[in-house]
Amino acid sequence: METEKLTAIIETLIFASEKPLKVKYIEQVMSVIDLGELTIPGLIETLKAGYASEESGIELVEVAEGWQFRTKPQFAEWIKRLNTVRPSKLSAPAMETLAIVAYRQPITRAEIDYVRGVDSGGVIKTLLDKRLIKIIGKKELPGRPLVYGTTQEFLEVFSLKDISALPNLQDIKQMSSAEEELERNQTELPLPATEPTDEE
Amino acid sequence: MISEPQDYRVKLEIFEGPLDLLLFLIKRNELDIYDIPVSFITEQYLTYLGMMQVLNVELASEFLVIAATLLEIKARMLIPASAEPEEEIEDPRLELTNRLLEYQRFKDAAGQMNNLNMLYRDTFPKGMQESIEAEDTSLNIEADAYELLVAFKSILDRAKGEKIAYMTVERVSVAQRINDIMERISIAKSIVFDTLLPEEYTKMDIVITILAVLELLRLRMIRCEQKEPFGNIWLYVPE
Repeated sequence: METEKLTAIIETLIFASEKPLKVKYIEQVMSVIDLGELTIPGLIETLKAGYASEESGIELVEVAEGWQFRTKPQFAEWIKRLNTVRPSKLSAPAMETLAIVAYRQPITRAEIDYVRGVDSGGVIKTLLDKRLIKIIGKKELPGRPLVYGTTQEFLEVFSLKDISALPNLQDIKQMSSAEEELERNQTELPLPATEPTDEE
Repeated sequence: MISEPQDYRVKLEIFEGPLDLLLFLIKRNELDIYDIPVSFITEQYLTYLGMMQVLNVELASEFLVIAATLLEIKARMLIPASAEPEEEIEDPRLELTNRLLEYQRFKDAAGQMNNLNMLYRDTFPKGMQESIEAEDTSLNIEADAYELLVAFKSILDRAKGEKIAYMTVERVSVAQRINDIMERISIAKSIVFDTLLPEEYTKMDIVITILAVLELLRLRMIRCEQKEPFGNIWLYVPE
């Protein structure tokens, strides 16, 4: 079968699927076809490349470990002119809490509260309601507190292929060098009590 | 004057919490986060809290916790250095500094996440009916905690005849019961509240079960419906 026809089949499968479609399902469906040298992931890349041009307003993206057609971000404004769209928004506290859960999962409510310095009960509930986070188990601690983690929906909402596709916590390196600096400061500086900046 | 000025409340959400406020003060005064002048920052912090009180802004208690922490650090820094110079003294500021750095990291991470292509904000799949907003799809009467308690009571009444003459060693925890319920509900999709109990049950079983159900409801991991007064209470997974 010609490559065009194969990519066309994949296109229909992804288009018809409501959720991001996993490669293994495409492979299952197309297992009856002898692909020869070609592979499904390779064909998907070919298909994806076809949408890259300026002429197309949609693109093929890998989210939540599957493939989905989505509109290109530069056209978001136009879609918002359609009244049918309810723009989704997350408040700053929600985003912050979500970031903590995303990077630190599995994490307990107490740990989240500690990082944020405020009670996070309400925000956690909102995130649970929005299905961006879920309870993924319990921690072996007194009281067996629940631990939270992110969901499949989270990956879909943030257009992430999988959890490792999150932007790197940039300052992990900075942090360690910062800690070194802190240690250096401690040794170099006079003892805190005699510190000039802190005199009454 | 008819109006009561003290009823006037402002809710400012500029600062998400005390750590956020501290970071702001450190940045505004161009201070070095690795070498926080505690006296100075405590004064600034307390001034800000005072200001908020004057404005009648509701203050979360956490703001006061950090105020206390600051004062404690300040006090510890005034304690004269140990006579033995060999002895390693931990900077009393270290824990707070680390917390602030950690918080800053996640604030940055949140900013980065906000820059990702967000579904229904930057990018859209076909079909517009979906939204990450939780939708209320209930059609039937929703049973509330009260109804659950009524059901609980009726089961308790049925258990009344039972004479407990033995001590059960094997006890199911609420957590276990939560898992049991979730397991059953994920297979059956919906179950009647009454059938959650084992064939022979003790009061302890009932209590554990009701606690488990209440907890699951609170976390919105299940929904609960009653189609008619005194009818069966159905539990199911929210769609």
